[in-house]
Amino acid sequence: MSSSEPKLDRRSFFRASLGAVGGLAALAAALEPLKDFDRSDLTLDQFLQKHYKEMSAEDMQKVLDRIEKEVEKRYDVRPEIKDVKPRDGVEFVYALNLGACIGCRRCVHACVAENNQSRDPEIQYIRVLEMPRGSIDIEEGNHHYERPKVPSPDHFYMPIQCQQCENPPCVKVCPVEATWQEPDGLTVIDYDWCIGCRYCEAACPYWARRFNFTEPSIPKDDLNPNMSYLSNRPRKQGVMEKCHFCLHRTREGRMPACLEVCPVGARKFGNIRDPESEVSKILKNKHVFVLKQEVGTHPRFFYYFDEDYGPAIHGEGR
Amino acid sequence: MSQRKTSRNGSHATPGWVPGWALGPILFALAVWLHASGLLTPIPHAATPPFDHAALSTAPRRQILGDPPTLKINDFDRTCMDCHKIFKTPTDKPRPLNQHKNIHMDHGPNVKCSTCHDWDDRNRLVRPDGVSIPFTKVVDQCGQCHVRIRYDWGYGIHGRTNGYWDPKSGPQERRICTECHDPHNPKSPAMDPISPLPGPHTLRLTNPHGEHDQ
Amino acid sequence: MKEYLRFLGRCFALSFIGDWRYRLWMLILTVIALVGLHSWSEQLVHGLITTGMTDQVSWGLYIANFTFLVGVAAAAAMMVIPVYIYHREELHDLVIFGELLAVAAIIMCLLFVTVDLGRPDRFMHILWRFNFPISMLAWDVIVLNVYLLLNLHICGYLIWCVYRKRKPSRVFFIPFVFIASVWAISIHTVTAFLYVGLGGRPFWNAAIIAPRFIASAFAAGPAIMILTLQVIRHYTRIKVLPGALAMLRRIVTVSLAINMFLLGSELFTEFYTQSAHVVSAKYLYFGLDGYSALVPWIWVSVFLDSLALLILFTPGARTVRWLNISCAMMIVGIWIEKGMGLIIPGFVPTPLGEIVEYKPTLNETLICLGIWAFGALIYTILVRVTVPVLTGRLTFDKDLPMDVADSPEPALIEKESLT
Repeated sequence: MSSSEPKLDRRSFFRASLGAVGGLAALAAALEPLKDFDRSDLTLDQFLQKHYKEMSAEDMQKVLDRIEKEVEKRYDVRPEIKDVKPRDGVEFVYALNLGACIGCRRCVHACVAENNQSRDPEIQYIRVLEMPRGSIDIEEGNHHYERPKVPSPDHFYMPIQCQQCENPPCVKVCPVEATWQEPDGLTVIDYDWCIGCRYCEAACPYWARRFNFTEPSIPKDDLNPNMSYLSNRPRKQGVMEKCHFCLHRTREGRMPACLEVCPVGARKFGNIRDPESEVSKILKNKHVFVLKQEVGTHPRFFYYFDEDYGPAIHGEGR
Repeated sequence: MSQRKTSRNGSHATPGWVPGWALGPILFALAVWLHASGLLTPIPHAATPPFDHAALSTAPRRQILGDPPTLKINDFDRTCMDCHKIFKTPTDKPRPLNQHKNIHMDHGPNVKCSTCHDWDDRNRLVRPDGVSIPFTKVVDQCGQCHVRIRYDWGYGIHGRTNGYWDPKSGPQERRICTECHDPHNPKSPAMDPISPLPGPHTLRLTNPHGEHDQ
Repeated sequence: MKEYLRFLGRCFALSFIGDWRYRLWMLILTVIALVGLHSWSEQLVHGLITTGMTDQVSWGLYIANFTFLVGVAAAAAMMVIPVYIYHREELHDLVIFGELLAVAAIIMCLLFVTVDLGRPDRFMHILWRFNFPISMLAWDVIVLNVYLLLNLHICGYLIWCVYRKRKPSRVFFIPFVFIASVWAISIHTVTAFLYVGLGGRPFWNAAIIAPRFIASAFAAGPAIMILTLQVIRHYTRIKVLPGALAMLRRIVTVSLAINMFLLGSELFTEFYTQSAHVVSAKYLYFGLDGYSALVPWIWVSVFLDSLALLILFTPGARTVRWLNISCAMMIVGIWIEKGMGLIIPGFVPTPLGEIVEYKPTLNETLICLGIWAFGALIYTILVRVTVPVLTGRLTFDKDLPMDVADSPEPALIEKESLT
């Protein structure tokens, strides 16, 4: 309070400048990490890209061309990215025979390979739970079982992935409509629209959604070049992803990767609107159930027990 | 906001233990520290341990026999009858075999070879009702006893279906009984146990004591 | 218009003027805010992997602080209700400090949400495709921003009028005050519904959460105001009548008591029923399968809240010192209970029963501290500008007060009893 003259003298001007420059330097130093920012991620084209549903066919073609180039630059592989549309009269349903599943986790890793998930940090869409016989409560499941051989006679195995709910809580909560349900029942994500708030991840009762906490890493040789916009094209840091029933395969009539690799035929997939399809027959003939029916999500993923004679029947002595 | 604040501070030097001239240097020191400090939190890694990717094959677990079944012996394709025409089987009674020693016979009441194999034409099977069928129609053979499973298999409920879910788009591959099960020894569980692939290694997995699980 | 720009310029200039304590305080806040900014820059480059969050615990300290601060923002403006509905005139001149706190708190809330985003560069996507009215987050974006605008308008208009030596027009003022006080409830209710609406998370999917949010906010918000008003009283010429603090104390006491009652009801329901849904509460209060990172925290919170309530019920709370102690305890207690104590257990165990614990990283903590410091910086500047205007030392026809003689006359600093 000693010197309160309103005009700046030379000394106080010097002090003020020193403070200002020091402040600017500190600000610059605080922002310095941003110079390592991946600028390929911040192009004007990407900034102006429209929401999936608002893109015309030409818009989409341009975007696909651009993404193909980006992927090629990064992975040295020229991918073929398509925008596969849903088919009329098709609604996909999955059925899984818990009596047959042996918990070998081949579906988990086939999915990773097919859908270009990050290897480090690890992202997997399917979790296989080892459940003690005598309980169907998934809280009892062991996610981290390691044994030389499966199945263990005292357990059964329950793979869980996106249930493609008819009433999906994740779609409800997304503030920017970056995730929605398609006419064939698949809940998809526009990876270029997601803002990464992770509200959907909190909303999902099946813990099916995964977040890219950092830039995903995929070995160049392992990249699956057969891609589509809404499914397995490489994701970016900071967006959500999840199982989409391999829509780039299934919308072309093929089976999803997790099913193809299943060594015991526990996985069944098809069109529920076709009464002759395998899944229709299962729903008609077997006693199926869905996970967490009480949360009202109406999953399109059904579980059933069939044809498993446990150790009590086929014991060692027989 | 820092530079705004300090730009005027200098003009109002007041007594106290932060004189105005110190602000600039303090902020400079901060700048140097920020520049030098870098990332304060190490980035964790969580990668799947390596495993044999051959495990991700979609091929059936067992090789099946064609019609007629052939076997390469000395670079020649031989069928069953190539031998069985010459070497006659002495008796149909259950007994230790001199040939086919890899076969471990344990299939409930079916103890005789001739229960399933056509005694006269070893290139074919025989149904319990006496009808001779080729090896490729083994489903009809098994289905004679395992009736319910045979129905389920017919609907696609039991067994593997690979390829296309939509037959109009492409071929469907239905795996038949012996592509998964060993007909001589259909144990429970119905197939041999196999090694599981690695479990999840997500970020920041810890055990109850805060140590990282590996 | 020109006059308004000049006013803004003068406010801007004024925020750099102060005595050494003011400058030290501002310097510390600036340094912390810059360190936080640095950490955020690191996070932008490397991703949210720099935080302790995982797919299992996908929200952490950011959302915890966000939730707490929404409560602070809501409650700060609630001081309006006793003033205008019950005509408690002793609070009349102090309401503006509550609304300024609301402004600062909402800005902090918005910052906490922004740093929590994986792709803040795409934030404007909410302008092109906004999932309203389905998504509760969309509601929250609207109510928070409208609330910010309402409070900015109320404070700005009031200060501008006093600066121009005009009498505030009731049409431009009173309706907004009422809207803001109702809106304050809405921001906190909507924020509670953000969690309550998730059927897959039984720990949050309970109707009692929203009332508890309001009750705890009405305790923590006025508690912060009690502490803030005393700072203002000690360092400025604004008069804070003892009756004002007594009024706030009453609000705080009742709200905290209701909060504790609701907490008790919740715990009874969870633990007496022992349904499958109790696991998260078990994890929070007693630990689950040997995982117990939150247990010490929540018991500290329960202890602080209970002790604060006990003190408030005794005559001791009528002295400023004990009132301050109980307010400080309650703020910390509610911050734990409503932040980490509400958000983290919702994720533990995961819907599939897996347990992964959450521990904030240094980087993440620094970002939080930075936002708190930035919020405090904003609030300090707002108060710094408001005080000379309200005391009539800064009006459009006066020179900028270049000295810092906003300190009160010594007589006012004396310790007073609140009764």
